[in-house]
Amino acid sequence: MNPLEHLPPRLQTRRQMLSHMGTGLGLLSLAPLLADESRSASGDTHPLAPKTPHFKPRARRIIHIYLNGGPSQVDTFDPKPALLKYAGQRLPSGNLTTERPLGAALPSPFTFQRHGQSGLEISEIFSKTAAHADDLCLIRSMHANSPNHEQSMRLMNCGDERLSRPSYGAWITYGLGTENQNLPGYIAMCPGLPVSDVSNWRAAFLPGIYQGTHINTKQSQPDQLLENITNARLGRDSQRRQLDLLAELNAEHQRQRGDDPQLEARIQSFELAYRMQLEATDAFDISREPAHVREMYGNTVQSRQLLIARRLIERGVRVVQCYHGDVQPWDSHDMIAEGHRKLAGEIDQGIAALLTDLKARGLFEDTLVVCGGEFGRTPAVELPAPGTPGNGKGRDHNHWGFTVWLAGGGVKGGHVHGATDEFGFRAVENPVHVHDLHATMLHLLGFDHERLTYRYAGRDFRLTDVSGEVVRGILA
Amino acid sequence: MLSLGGGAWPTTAAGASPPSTPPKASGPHWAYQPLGTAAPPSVLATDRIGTPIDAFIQASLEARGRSLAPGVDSRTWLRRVSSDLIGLPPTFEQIQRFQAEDSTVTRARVIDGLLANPRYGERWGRHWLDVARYADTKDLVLLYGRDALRPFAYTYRDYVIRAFNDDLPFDEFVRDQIAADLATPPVEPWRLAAMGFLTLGRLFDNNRHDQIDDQIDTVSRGFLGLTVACARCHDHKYDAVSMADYYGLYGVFASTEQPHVMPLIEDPKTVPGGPEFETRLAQARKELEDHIDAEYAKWSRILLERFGDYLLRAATTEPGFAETAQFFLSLTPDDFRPAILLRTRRLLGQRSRPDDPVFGPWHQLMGLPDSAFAEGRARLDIPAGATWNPRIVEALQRASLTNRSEVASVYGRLFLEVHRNSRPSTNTVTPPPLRPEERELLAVVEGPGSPVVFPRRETPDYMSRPDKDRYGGLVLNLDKLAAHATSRPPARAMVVTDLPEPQTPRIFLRGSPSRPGPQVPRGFLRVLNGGREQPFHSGSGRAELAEAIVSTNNPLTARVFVNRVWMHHFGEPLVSSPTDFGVRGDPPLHPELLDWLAGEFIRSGWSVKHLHRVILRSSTFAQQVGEGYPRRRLDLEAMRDGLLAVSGRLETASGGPPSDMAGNPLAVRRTVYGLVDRQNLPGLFRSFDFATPDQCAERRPHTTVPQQALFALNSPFVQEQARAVVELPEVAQAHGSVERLQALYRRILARNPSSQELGQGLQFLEATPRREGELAPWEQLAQVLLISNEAVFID
Repeated sequence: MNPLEHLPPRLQTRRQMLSHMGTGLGLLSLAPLLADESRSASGDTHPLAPKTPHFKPRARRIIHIYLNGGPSQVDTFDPKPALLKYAGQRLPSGNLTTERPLGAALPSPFTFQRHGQSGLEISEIFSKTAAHADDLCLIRSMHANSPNHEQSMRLMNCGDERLSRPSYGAWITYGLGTENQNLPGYIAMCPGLPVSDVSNWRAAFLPGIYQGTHINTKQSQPDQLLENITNARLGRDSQRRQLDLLAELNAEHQRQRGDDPQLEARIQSFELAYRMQLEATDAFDISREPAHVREMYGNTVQSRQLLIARRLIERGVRVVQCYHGDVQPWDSHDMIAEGHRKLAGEIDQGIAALLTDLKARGLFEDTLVVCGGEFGRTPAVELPAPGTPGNGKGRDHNHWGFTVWLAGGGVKGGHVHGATDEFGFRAVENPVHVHDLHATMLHLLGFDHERLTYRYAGRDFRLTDVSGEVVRGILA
Repeated sequence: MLSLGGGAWPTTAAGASPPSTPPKASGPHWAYQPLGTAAPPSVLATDRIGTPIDAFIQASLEARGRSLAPGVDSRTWLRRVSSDLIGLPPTFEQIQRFQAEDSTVTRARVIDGLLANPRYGERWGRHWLDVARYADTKDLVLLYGRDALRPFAYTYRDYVIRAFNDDLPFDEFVRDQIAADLATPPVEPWRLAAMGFLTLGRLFDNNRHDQIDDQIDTVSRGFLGLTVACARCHDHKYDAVSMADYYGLYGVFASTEQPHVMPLIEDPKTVPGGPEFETRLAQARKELEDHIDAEYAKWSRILLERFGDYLLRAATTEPGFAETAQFFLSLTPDDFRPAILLRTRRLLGQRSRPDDPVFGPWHQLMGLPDSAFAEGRARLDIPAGATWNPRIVEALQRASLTNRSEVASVYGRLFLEVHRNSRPSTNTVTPPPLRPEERELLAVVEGPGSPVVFPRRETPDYMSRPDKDRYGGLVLNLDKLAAHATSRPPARAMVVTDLPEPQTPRIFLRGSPSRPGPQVPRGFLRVLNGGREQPFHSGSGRAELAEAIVSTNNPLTARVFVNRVWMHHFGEPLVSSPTDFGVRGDPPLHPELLDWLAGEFIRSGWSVKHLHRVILRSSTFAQQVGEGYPRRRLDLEAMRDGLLAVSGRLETASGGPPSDMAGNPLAVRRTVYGLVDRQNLPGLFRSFDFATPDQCAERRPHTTVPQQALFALNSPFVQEQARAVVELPEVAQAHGSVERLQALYRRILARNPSSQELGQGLQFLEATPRREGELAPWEQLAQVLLISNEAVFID
């Protein structure tokens, strides 16, 4: 009876593939009527045509390296030696409320070293990223609203924990359009689906074309990443012949009806689709990269995503998100020493390569790189309790304080902004809420976050709702 | 569309909004005014007047020195009206026959025939499902995975389709969807499924306040064209809707619940395997109910026993994060339950006062400095004239009060004792009657506002993590049994029912449930009642809410619905924001016509089919494409169903559980029966502008994107239809290429090809080689016709 279940196996596989594409045809967000023109036949500006923001932007595009699940700040970018002093004892300041019961202070199992001229202290598990310390802007005073994944993922992406609000990627694509009309303007890659799934890149009440296109990178064949991007039953020359006949018939149909932009737009959409078949598969095909570049990034799915991300932004894609993995990989409730080391090992080399690569191609200055999770983790150990995953060697979710770092377009390099308390629990110095981060990201892209609005159901909505302040201290 | 200017609202987070200011005067805003009664105006070109609609339109055109555009030919008119009413194209033969006998009388007969066709409900039901944010699944893919299906959601979809086919009067349709369970006399069982309108929304991580907000939003925008949900955190900035209005409606939905097991709407004995399924379901339900019973008994006991602990905690700590924020907390058995603590704080806030008979002593002792306890024994100092409860006084005087927790223990023990004394023990049938001072204490424990006595339905809120996980699994199991059954389980309706005790809502300051403000009565929007309060008195008030919505004193409901019908017939609505008739929306294009249509709709007994007739028989509808009638591309459903119709594959069986459609090129049911997966809307749906099922849809966008072209060119579904159409006997058995081409054109475009088109077709066939693994040349040609502009645009 379950229609999700009673399909023949072949179709089920296909369905799963589609379903894992999230927006599925998702490409949907792709697409502009006219490949290289910003105006349609009727003279209206196309919704995805490149647009000018409020003021001169410092960054033109975003790559978000999303360490979903909640990386521990005290094990990565926010060293807290005081934890060693209190190892095995209750924190003198007490524990804050998180999702699960907590015990004594848990010192980081990793060592931290100073790096670069700036001397930023970074954990050994990000030693390759650390080589770029002088390019990183660490915000060590991030905070969010609640210690649950679903809500915090949506807050980080959409500025609201539960309600249907557009993702920041959708807002940016709405505000800026995109620069390559043969590719989606906003792409979210993940090997699988992160928690809160498609709501992470939704358009909500914004027009559907601004929604993120989800690419399931568990699938590695470029031509299977986008729905209907190849024709299984016709070669390219046959398809051209077919399109020529279609164009002839449509032209005659249009001739009898006079000028109508709708008819023209649909005619053009077929030509665009024809070109997209080539360009879209090409953009996702990293086998076209020279061997040394592929080696520089490394051979994990996370680093391949970063290489694809570079290929995409190079081609004019506006927003690219690279989720670390299915569900919530960074969620180290237990065995954090092993877990975090393995996770960082999957992405560290890729991050370093991406930063090197962006610089080599002159893309670093106007690309904003964002790296972090939906929240951090507690400096105190998570107590083993019935129904919870803790085994006494891990950390619970922590929205009171965590680290997100930025690099590239318009932000200071080798810079630390804000601080958590002595133990890394709560942001205490220059706290930056997720709304503030959003306001700052929009600012770097040239928008006043209070003026990038959309009228819906009686209100002018904006990404930051009624909050958000640009973090001036990190602007270069 | 892109707003880069100022005017973002709200722009500041400053200050708490006042709880509720009186509503703004209903003022002169057109939408709140009674329906106008203007008669159809007289016009010069009387020959163009088919129905009164034409008089309104022609008069406004004549005022500008213009006139209705000339009428379309028979073929175009028939395509238009078929597409509009049943979402399927007419056949070549139907067009031929109609052309031969086209007249006003024939047209009226054609309209009646289409309205009587069961395909009509499938077409128009789908329009309403957009408003109802219909989906077959819950949200949260990862949480529910393959168990996301709501196995009986389809009964709502089928109800809507039947309601349109039966021409159920629209006021009845509204009543059913809000309060079918409360109807007197009871409605037929199939109509109970209407309440899916309230129960099919998103789950919002099981946040009840957000679920209620969604119900308020869907009811108010869907029926009334009012954005009431804007008043959740503060009075509406633009419209005369206050927080009191919002929370008046909040109370209605907070006083209802969705039962775990929904009522049957068909006899299990009539369904193959039905009785066996019902037996399994009953077992699963018993397992769930037993678990709730056990937990309810356990937590009722624990909370009573720990009342003293809660009192102490509330008196000696500030509210913690867990009490004020809304998030999922993994509770151990010993943890204080944040909601109980919050209620205990509220109790003490109200009653810890010197003159309170029960908590007067508490107030005094808790107010003593620490030293009073440390230096020896704290002593109760009974003020003259105090009316303190003698049991409390006596117990406190007897106890040795060495710290505050001792005070709390005394209270806790006494409350527990009177509670136990009020209950029959195993050997006495009737407990001895309580003395007045004991009744006073019992009222604290058991009376309204008791922090520790809670209704059974709240039990899951207090469960410890493993018990709560088990509870969630058992609830999900009920759906899973149905979703994974090998044959269709007997149909059930996704109803709501009233709580035994309706809730009197409080305004939540700034929308935050942890900041309850003043109480307001459950009631209707004041702006639609002359600015006066309209409290509801009967149960949750749902039946009264439905009556208020369909009251003839309320001009919005009819206006909002006729505007939608107009939109679906003309592409553009008369009021451009169909779910926002407030002051920020545009005024109607033809206000007098809108009101006449709304009035006519009500006068006809809210007959939707009558409304169609009035519109479709008009000359306005029959105009050639132009300013008054825009050319339109078929929507997703009409496009896909049309392909299946011309390929001969369309299956017309109605109703029942949804089938996966987007991923299956062989699926042949109408699109309205396709699975609508809320969190994973298929790409096909999304790229063809399907309405988002997350919230009540205002209107579908109209985009032209290359994904649509990729679907037309490359999807196995379209290729499958191309293959099927070539295999039809009339095509496959035609003699020679010319006849075969003619057969293809007749089948797909419902006309004969021109000689030029014949030439183009033959040339294509000649130039196209037959290749292994590729579509055959005839199939390629058929695909071109299927996806041509002529096939997908309605002139």
